[in-house]
Amino acid sequence: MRLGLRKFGQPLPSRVKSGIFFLAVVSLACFGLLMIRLWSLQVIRGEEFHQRSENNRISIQVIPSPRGLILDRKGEVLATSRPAFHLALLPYAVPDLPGTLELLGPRVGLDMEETRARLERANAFKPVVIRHDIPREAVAYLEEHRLQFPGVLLQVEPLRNYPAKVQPAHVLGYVGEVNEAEIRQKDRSYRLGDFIGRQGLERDFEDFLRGVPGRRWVEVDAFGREQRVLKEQPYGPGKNLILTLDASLQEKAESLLGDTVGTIIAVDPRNGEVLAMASQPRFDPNAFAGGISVNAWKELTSDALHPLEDRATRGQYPPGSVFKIAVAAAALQEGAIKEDEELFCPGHLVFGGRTYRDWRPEGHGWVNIHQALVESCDVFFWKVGLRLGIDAIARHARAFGLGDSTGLRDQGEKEGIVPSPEWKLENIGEPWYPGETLSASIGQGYTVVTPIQMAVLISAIANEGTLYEPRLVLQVEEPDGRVIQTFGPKMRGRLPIQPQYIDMIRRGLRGVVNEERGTGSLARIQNIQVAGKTGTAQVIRLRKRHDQKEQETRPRELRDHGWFVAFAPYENATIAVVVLGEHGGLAGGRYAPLAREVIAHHLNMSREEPGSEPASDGEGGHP
Amino acid sequence: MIDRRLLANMDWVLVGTVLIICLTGIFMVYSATYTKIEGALSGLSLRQLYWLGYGLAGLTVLLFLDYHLFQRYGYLLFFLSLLLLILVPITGRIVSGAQRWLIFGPFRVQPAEFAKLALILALAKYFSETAREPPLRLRDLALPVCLIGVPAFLVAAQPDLGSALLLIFLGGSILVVAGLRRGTLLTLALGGMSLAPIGWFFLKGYQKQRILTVFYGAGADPLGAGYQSLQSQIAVGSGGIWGKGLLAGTQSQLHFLPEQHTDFLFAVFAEELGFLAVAALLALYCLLLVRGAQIAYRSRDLFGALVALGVVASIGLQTILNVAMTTGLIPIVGLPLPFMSYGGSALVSQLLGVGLLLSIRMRRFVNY
Repeated sequence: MRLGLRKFGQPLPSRVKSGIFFLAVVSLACFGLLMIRLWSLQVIRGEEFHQRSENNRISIQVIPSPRGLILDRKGEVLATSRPAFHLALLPYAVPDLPGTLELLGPRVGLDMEETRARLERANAFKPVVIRHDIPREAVAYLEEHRLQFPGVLLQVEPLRNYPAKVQPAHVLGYVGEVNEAEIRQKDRSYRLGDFIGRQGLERDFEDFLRGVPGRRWVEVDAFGREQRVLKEQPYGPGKNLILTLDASLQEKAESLLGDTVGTIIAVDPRNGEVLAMASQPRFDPNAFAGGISVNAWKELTSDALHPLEDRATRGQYPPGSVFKIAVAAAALQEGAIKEDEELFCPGHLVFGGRTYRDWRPEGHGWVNIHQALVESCDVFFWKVGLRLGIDAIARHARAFGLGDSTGLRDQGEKEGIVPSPEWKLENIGEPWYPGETLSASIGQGYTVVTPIQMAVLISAIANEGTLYEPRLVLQVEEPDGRVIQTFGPKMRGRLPIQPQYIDMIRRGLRGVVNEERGTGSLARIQNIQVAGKTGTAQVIRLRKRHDQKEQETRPRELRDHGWFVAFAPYENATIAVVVLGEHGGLAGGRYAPLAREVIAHHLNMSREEPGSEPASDGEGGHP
Repeated sequence: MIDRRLLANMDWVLVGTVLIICLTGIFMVYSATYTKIEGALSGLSLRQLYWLGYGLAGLTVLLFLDYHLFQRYGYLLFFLSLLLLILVPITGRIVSGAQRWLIFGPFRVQPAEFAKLALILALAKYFSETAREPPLRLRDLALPVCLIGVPAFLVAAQPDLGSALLLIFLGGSILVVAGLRRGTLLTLALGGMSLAPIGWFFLKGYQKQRILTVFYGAGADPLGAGYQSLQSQIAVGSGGIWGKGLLAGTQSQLHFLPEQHTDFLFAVFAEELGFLAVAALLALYCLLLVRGAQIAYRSRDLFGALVALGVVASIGLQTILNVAMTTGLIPIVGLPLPFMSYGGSALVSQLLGVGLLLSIRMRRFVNY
């Protein structure tokens, strides 16, 4: 039958009623299920979800802490931080992206292709840095025209800055962005993008300089847009280092070196404080501050002269005649030579069927130990060396601190070599030949030292027998000047040499500079007694020596090294200097003027107020 | 026009319940779209208030009309709604990757919402006039299946998966009540299930992508569809017993919730007002359903009963599916919460449905 309109009051068929009833019951059952689910989410797990919603909305940002300052002993700033402005875009907030890039491009030097590629990959709601460390003028322009550039941001980050004209690059070192491996291995408190000291003091004193980054709890929305700052924990700035360096003397040393490959070190012999330490060629540590470019890094590392190497602590050179100081001390102490005993120098020595030639072919004649030091007579020291024997020479060389790192650096310092028969057997696998004792006696052969070891050696003579560990840092201070840690003089011991013998050597060294036949006469200063010792270290053994023209025709790496070590004033010395010219092909005496300039500068500066005319320009040496 | 006997049968409880839910909804839309910059009554909640006005006006008009008018024009209205659905891909407006809207002057209309009402009327007409005495055989279902399938297909193609599913469930509920043999029901259910994976394959590719992006909103989210379900559960759960307070829901105010003023409005409600308010709200919906079911149950004729049942089923299904989706019980299908979620077409069509319910109840003793 067909269903038409039902009549008034006629009840619905019962199956329809039960269907409606059934659906209603099912619906209510569904609501019951929903209530159970809501109870579980909101009541039972409410706390857990509340925590998760908090984690959602709060993002913790790190506020970089500027590194501590590095100051010289007089408070001159050698390393500081400067605000670097990074240009960033918040893509979603930039109405006209191509137009904005067009405008910004030429002003900040954008790589358009790369910038576009970077923006395409970026999250539109997070700032994208498109150019690091833009120039000041660009910052000023953007600040002025802020309204024209919606969505363009300047992010400020403290970057390392070395303000001095001439930086003691190898002393300070440099900083670089920490990498993942370093975070994993060393310290989990670093985050990617943080800077870490990579060389020099920046590395050795990283824990002081670094400081504690601050934190900022920011409420963000789902797109990472900042809503408001909930809490802020300020950063703890890094600690300041006060160095032993004298910036003015450092600058003097750097400028004296000029293009000369080598190093100049000045130490206070009374306590081991390093006053100046220059190494040439050097690098610009500022180039590393914002992350060094690949090209610049390649250039530095592929340079044949290795500008990143610190020659003062990592360069190893034969000491040449400077070593005669140690041999002389050993010989006197061991009784191998008497104070006034004279030996004859004919200009050569025949030993083991071979002829060894003195640097002065005509010979020095009859010389005692004083004369031998003054004139740097090779034959005398050969003979003395043979009397001493290699073991005694090695023992005394070690007593001067040779063959061991000086302790200036925490790591990376070279130790040099003090050869002995055991050393040779172990490292070369051959027995010691007696002829090699001759080479060792005048600082040739296997013996190599670092310039900083030479500084310790000459300081010990200057202060009449005490070995000090050289130091670069005087103290560590809080930014407000409160001293946290002071580094006092550190004695490594005393020379095992009688005072009267040390005195004899001192007199000899004074003679080197001040006596007529002295090899270091170019270091002479009016009114100040300078003592010193020359050294010319051969790189190759030659039958004939002392031929300047011949040196210049050799390849660079085969030319001689020249040494000059000195201290002044003679009594109560306040400065000890080491000058090394690497492969300069010049005799050590030719570097004496550099030492003289350093000494004169230092003594004038310490005697008078900075800025006054020097009392003596140091002229007075004899050619 | 409307005599006192009719007014005496007005269901004031139902009207009150609906109004409370609607006003709560406007508050929540306000909260969900609140920004510190715009402040005050932001555009959307105000617009929803206007839509509430239009809907109540439409509801009132329906009170004056005998619902049998819709029995007469049931198929016509159905074809009109199909026409609108067909117009959508031709002239419609694309929003968030889906083409769902038609523009009529100042109004943006979502024909899918009205298709639900039209389907209810057409099915009720068919079962009360054309169909033979139950139990029905399978071949008697050819027309009803077409009545359900055609609009469902058109809506799914927009793509609006949620509304398409709702049309199918809604039609299914009416079929159940209109009376099917168990065997027929089983065949239909099995057929539906076997078609489902085919449908999924059909949706694969760009359409599936579009479906997903519909839920993401403008800032296409890289973290995947699971992200929204999780964020929604976090929002609901973090509300706890007492809620975080109006405008203080971090999940919604900071936009961790997707589509917070439409499909996920319930999560905003749950986060800001807490479990007790949620229980009260669901109780209101239950009350609404019970009153509606009562109207269907006591209806004077089969057409009225089926229309009332269709309206109630439509509201109940959407509520259950929306809350289940928001609380992570089922995957996310885009279905708004009836009477509360922002959306003019939905609100107006749901209020028209309530108008039909009231009209059916008022006339249950009337003789013509």
